[in-house]
Parts: sequence; structure tokens; C-alpha cells
Amino acid sequence: MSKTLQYQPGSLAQLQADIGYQEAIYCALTALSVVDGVTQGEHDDTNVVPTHSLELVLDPDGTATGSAGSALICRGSAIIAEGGANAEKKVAAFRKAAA
Amino acid sequence: MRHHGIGSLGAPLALLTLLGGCTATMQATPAPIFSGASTMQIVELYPVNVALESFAYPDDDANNQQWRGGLSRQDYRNMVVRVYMSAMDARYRDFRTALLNEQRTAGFGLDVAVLGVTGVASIAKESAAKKLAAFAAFIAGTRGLVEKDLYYDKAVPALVAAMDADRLRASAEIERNLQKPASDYPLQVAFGQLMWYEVSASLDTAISRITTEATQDRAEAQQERNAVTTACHADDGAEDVTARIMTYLRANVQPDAKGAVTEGQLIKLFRIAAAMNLSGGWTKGQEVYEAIRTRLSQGSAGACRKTDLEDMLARIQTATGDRIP
Repeated sequence: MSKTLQYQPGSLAQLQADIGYQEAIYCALTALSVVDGVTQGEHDDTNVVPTHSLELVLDPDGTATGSAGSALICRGSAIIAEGGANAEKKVAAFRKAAA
Repeated sequence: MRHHGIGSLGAPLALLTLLGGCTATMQATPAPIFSGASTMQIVELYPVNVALESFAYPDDDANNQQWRGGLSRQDYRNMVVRVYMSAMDARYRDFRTALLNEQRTAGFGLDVAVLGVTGVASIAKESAAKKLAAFAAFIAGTRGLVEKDLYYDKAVPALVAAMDADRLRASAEIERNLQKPASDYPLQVAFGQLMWYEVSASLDTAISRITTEATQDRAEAQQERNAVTTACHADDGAEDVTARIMTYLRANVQPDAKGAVTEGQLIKLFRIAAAMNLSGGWTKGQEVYEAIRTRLSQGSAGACRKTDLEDMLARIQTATGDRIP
């Protein structure tokens, strides 16, 4: 079972915090995309993940990597607020290695 | 084992049901023959534990006559539910009458006694007055226009009408369920819904609903929200608090793979929903569980604040009697 959530525009850090928060409720993020100008996230709603384990980075050329030991969740896109304007950006989500 | 005199209750009960039912009129009502105290005396004949025990005996059990006065499980359940509903209605009627009388006679502040009849928890005077003042300010468009007459003429009748509507919806849901066989709608589940019925009409809920309806059509908004949930902006620390709440919910009240919950879980879910100021015409545990998760996911006004969540967690602990580590 999966759950679709719409995310409000915000900075990359805010979006990471927002997605991390929703992972506490709807479990692991599986995909990120922009639909009709809105960031949309898919959560699998079964796979409980540790808090603060999500890492979101800009991924302009599709080759971005996360912190050491992290595993790629997905590459996709999101609406990111930057310099007072919202723009669609390519992003990558990673699962941080357990501490 | 005791017999609780069921046979002698039929006529007064029918009257109580009629008298206790709330009405949508704004007129003052005559003093009732059956006071809140007298309806409570009838409720006291059916303590929850005794009623549940009596309900448990099968229809063909030899002790049926002694435990349920010869009533079937369905008839006994319906009688107990209506006794409790009558008492709740009588209490609500007193609350409603006092609120409307207060509108006619008193100053801006509401008496604590008037506001303390919401069933589960009383509302502190200062808090309620602030909420009502804020609500009146909303209607006026500016706090500078808040006047006593505005509050009297607009706010109180609107709040009472909203509470009446909430209560009627809750009542209709229970009445529909009372048509079901005892096995499909056991007394334990009915008690859970009664708890929801008791809190279905509160100033908090009414203010919230009217305020929302004044700015947008609630039904359309709800439909849109149901289609895709809009996630809140979470502040620092919010994730940790919600993770604690969700760990508790998953361990204690999460529906199974088929969406089913036990009767104990359902009662707990209704308590949690009430603690989060949620109400709805839920009949399944899965629906209550999803409403709770949606509330956590959406937050308040698009934001999920650590302080709000900590307050919510504390209320859940109080409502359930459980400690959330």
C-alpha cells in the first residue's frame, strides 16, 4: 500500500525536514516528482524507517551522491524555493547509514 | 447477580428519548419534567461493566430472563444505548439552554458552569471567552468591531446551530447502527460511539467548523483534502514527537492487514480522536486511524509545530491512560 503526499514549496532543507516528518507517519519515501507544479511524494506506508535518516540533495546532472555510507532511494524532482522564487529542480533522496 | 428492572422502564424511556432529543430551534424551551439528574438515575441502573456482562449472554441462555429481563441481545443493546443517549441529550439540553439564556442575560464572559457540560472535559472560562472573542472578531473582520451585541446576535446562535447539527449527525449514525444485529454492532462498540456522541457537540468543534465554513465550502475542501493529503511544514523537533506518537499508535491501535481492529482498540481510537479534537461519522477503526494520521500529517494551518504535537501527545496520554515513551 502506498500513500501520495503533496509537499509545499520550501527550501531544500525544509523539504528534507517535511519529508522526514511524513516518513514518521507514512513510512519510507519511494519517489519524488512534480505534478502540475506541485511536489508529490510517494511513501510505501509499510516500511518504518529511523527518524532523521533522510538526506535530500540537489541533483542537476543525475549523478549526485549522498553522505558516506548512504543508499540511494530515488532520483526525481521537486519545487524548491530559492532566492524568493519557486523553481522545479532535480533532486536525489538518500537513506543515511545507521549511526 | 442482579436484575435491573428492565420491564418497568419502557414507558419512561420512550418519554426520555423524546424529551432528551435536541432541537434546532433558537427559542427558549419550557422547563423539562425529566431533569439531567433524573436521567442520570436511570443510567446508574446500567453501569458499563454490568451492561456489558448482561449483553454477553447468548439469546438462548437460561439466565437471559435474570440478566436482560427476557430481552434479546439486540433489544438490550438498543435499550442501554438509548438510556445513555437520553442522559447525554438531557445534559446537552441543559448546556444549550444555559448558553442561550446566557446570551440573553449576561455580559460577554461566559459562566464556567455553562461551559462545563461538554461531556469529557470542561472548558476553562478564560480559554472559552478568548475563543469566542476570537470567533466574534473573525466575523467582524477586525477586533475593533467586536461588540457585545455582535457576539450575542451572531455568534451564540451560530455556535448552537453548529453544535446541534454535529449532534444530529452523530445521533443518526448511532441510530443506523442500532438496526444491525448484536453480533455486527456489539455493545462495546456502541459505547465507543457513545463517547464520540458525547463530545460531538462542543464549543471548540463548533467554532472551528463555523470559522472554516465562513471562508470556504467545507465539503469541497474536505473532498480535495481526501484526494491527496497536503503535507505540513515541520519545524525542528516535530519529527521526533510524531515518531513517538506513531510508534505508540502502531503498537496499540493500528488496524490489521484487513483493516480490522479489536473492540478495545476501537474504543481507544475514539478516545485518541477525541483528544485530538477530531470528529466524524466513522464506523470502522480504519477510518478513525486514518483520520488521526491525516491530522498528524496536515498539522494546523499547514504547519506541524513541536509544541502543538507535544500538547497533543500529552492529551492522548491522558485520554488513554497510557504512557507514550
